[in-house]
Amino acid sequence: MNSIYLPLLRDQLSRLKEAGAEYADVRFHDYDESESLFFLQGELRSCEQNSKFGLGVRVLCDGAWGFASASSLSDLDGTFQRAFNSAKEAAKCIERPVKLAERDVLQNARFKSPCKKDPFDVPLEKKIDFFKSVDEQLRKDFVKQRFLSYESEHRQIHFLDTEGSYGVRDIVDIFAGMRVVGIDVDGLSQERTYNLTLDPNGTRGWELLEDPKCFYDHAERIVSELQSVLSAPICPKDVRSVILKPGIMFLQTHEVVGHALELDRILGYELSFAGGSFVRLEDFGSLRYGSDKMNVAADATMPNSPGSFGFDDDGVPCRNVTLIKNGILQSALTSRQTITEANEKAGMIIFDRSGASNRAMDFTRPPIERMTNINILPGTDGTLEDIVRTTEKGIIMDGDRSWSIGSNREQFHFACEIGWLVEGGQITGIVRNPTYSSATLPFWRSMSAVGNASTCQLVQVANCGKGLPSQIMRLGHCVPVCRFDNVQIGL
Amino acid sequence: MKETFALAASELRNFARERNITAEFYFHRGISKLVRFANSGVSSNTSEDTFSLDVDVSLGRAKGSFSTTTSPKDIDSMKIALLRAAEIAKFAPPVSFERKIPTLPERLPDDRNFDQRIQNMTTADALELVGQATDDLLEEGLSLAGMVSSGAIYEAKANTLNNNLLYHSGTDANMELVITSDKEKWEIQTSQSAVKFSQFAPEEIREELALLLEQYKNRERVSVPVGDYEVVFGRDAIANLINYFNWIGYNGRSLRHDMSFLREEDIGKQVFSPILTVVDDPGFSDTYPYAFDMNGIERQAFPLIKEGVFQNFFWNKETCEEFGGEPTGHDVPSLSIAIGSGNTPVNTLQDLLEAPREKDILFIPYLHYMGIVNAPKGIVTGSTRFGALYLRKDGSIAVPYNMRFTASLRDLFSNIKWISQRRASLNLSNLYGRRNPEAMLTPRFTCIEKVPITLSNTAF
Repeated sequence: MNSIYLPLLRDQLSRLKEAGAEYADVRFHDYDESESLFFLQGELRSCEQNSKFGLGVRVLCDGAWGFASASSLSDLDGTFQRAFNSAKEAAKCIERPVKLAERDVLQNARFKSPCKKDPFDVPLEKKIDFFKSVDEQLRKDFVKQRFLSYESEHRQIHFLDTEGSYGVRDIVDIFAGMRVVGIDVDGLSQERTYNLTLDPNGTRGWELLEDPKCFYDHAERIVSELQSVLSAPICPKDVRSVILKPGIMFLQTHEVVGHALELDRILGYELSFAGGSFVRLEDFGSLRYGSDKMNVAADATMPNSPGSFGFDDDGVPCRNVTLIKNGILQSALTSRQTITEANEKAGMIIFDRSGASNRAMDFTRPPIERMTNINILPGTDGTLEDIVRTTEKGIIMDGDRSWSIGSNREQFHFACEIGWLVEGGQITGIVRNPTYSSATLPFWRSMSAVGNASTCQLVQVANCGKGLPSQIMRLGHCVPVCRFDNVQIGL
Repeated sequence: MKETFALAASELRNFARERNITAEFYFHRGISKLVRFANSGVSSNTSEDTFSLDVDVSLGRAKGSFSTTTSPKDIDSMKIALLRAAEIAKFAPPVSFERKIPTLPERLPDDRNFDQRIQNMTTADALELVGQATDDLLEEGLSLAGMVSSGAIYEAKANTLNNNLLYHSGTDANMELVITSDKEKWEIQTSQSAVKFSQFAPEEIREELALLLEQYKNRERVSVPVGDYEVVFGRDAIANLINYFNWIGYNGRSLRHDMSFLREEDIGKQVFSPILTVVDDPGFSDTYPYAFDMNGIERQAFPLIKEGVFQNFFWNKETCEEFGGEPTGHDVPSLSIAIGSGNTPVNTLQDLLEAPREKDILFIPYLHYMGIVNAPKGIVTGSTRFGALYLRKDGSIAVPYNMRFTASLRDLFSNIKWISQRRASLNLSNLYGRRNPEAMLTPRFTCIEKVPITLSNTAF
């Protein structure tokens, strides 16, 4: 596990400290492998492996950040100096010096993703055979196109800082998806997808794919649902209750709870790109975000998810933070920098310590606030069937087809892959092209049912985008079936 | 860098040939600097210098790929990448169609759009540009956000069929500035793209920001009723909309996968307004063009829409191998899309505000977070952001809260009323992963009738 380069990196950090840096850290990827497979019509169209090696250096000097990265260690002096110089230059134009909140120094921290079979130890032929067997399940006359995708990563990341922290993370992630496309009665394409889900208490190596209930068993279902959609009527324009299954509920949570509660967005650090948030600092502790049934946690301590990572890129151990309790806003996704600034601006202590949400995509990027596992806690309204039984006029939706969100996360529009109309407590038929849209707060305040734990699924997000330079991030959402009332559909 | 790539290509070719490996190599070096602003100060100051190699090994119809991030002089790492790609190819089953490695032609290095001054841009340069662009504009309650991005790419393509090397290098820069209201949360924005440092004109940015700021500070706020509107889209918004054509419009691969709203039978037909012309033209240097694609095919002006008549789909090599047809030189990291100019003398925001109006119209300079609601129908949705205005028939101006529109691209671009005479390039560069400069030449304003506004906020 120990890299031969660590003493060299420590020397560089010491040098910057002596040169006047208030703080500096380095993330060094000494092992970073990824693999992706893509099948179309049962044929392996691409098989790519990638190997990365490099480091990212972050320096705080005179109250400003500087960052530099390199894919080689051949010029360590130069890379560290670039980061230092960037901080010195940036310090000429700051309004508010960066101050980092206190935290305990990481003492040889270790994190290892729960994984029984490292995907990189599984022979390629076995992977190909597996996906070909899944493809056989998707092969039907009415399925015009069949897509299968697979991606795995194994990274070893060392973290060191000038406060004496050292930790290493050994992270394995695995993603897979299947998609079938058919042509509907109007001659237009329709699709159904399924992405590999996780057991929050399980493991996430190759064994996950071998568990039929996590992937394989869903092939027959999505094919059957696609067939139904192809001849189904168009979703009506209407206002009715919307029941969201985890296949769209995760994105609903992601876009207008997760992103809206990133503290850097709230403080205005994403205004030139990703956007801001309708949430204000004075809202914490008082804003009614949703109905009493709404309980949300940012839980990076779940044993098994890409949103659990041991400690963040500030060197702060992962936490389980309550974001919303009984509908009232409690906290946010935070870092050492932003909680200090937020508390100062608010003139009071809103955040007592970092929520450990500061993460970078890889060594080429500085860390920013990112989601961990943003979970809707299960409720007491039973199963999907129970919720349907108590719905007078509604629609169940599943599968994310498109999403579009207001810049302050104040409103949204989602299109789904499939809808089931509900009348008088019963499912009455399937519709195609279902969509719904709303303003954020009225929507969550209309939350009228939350399914129990049996309805929960841990959905992985492999490509959440944010930041400049842009970054994607891996995370999770464990969400139940939920119902919302008086929602506009069919636009 | 060309010599470094050439040396690496030569070593890798020889290493592959000795082992009877048929391989393609793509070298990429990206040098990036980005100064980001938030809350009126520098919030992030980053620099990056990364080199990567992609290797594709072909074994008949089977292919294995491996990429590595390393030093451009670390030939040993690159040889390992080659061997790993070859190992993958051994196990990859063949596909059902013929895959051919192209015989790369001899081409002169494509480095005509390189400006050392851009590659060498410093934080001090960025601060000076931003200072000039925002001079005197900021006051209590307003904050500055934005970024100045600059950098260079060096790329080369080679394979084992011959000893030719396709080489491309270029520089790109972009300045985007946002002024926000701390209390109300409204935002105004403008941007400027550059190939050469001398193209930056911060005084133009300042002028536009100042005019927008005047409206946002002083005008009444309104929640516009939902319904159909005549909308003047700014260059950012129109580029965003036209960019969807690259994915679900005239892209041959999307057509073959039933994900295009254009059909083969649309070719030669009047699908859009007769004042819409779109071309992919590497002759426009402001679009960070490629003189040839990654297969060595010379890039020429490729008409896509001419006076509203749909001209053709573009085709990449892999789609042609699978479905038939001839590649059109579109295996490039970015296209050089240019929208034709019109004849309406509304070329500045001041012109637009002063132009007589027959009805209430909306000015929408920017669209945020668009989504494809239905690809084969070409239906998209998005929200307004950054400086929208409500220009009433009576001459008054109001500031609308953000709105959402949902419409089909076919309808939108059939209902163009007028297009500005002047155009400007808009930077669309991909800042995810590898540096990939891209820009589109767009009219300053494009007026479209009957745009359905489907949701209207009651606050920013």
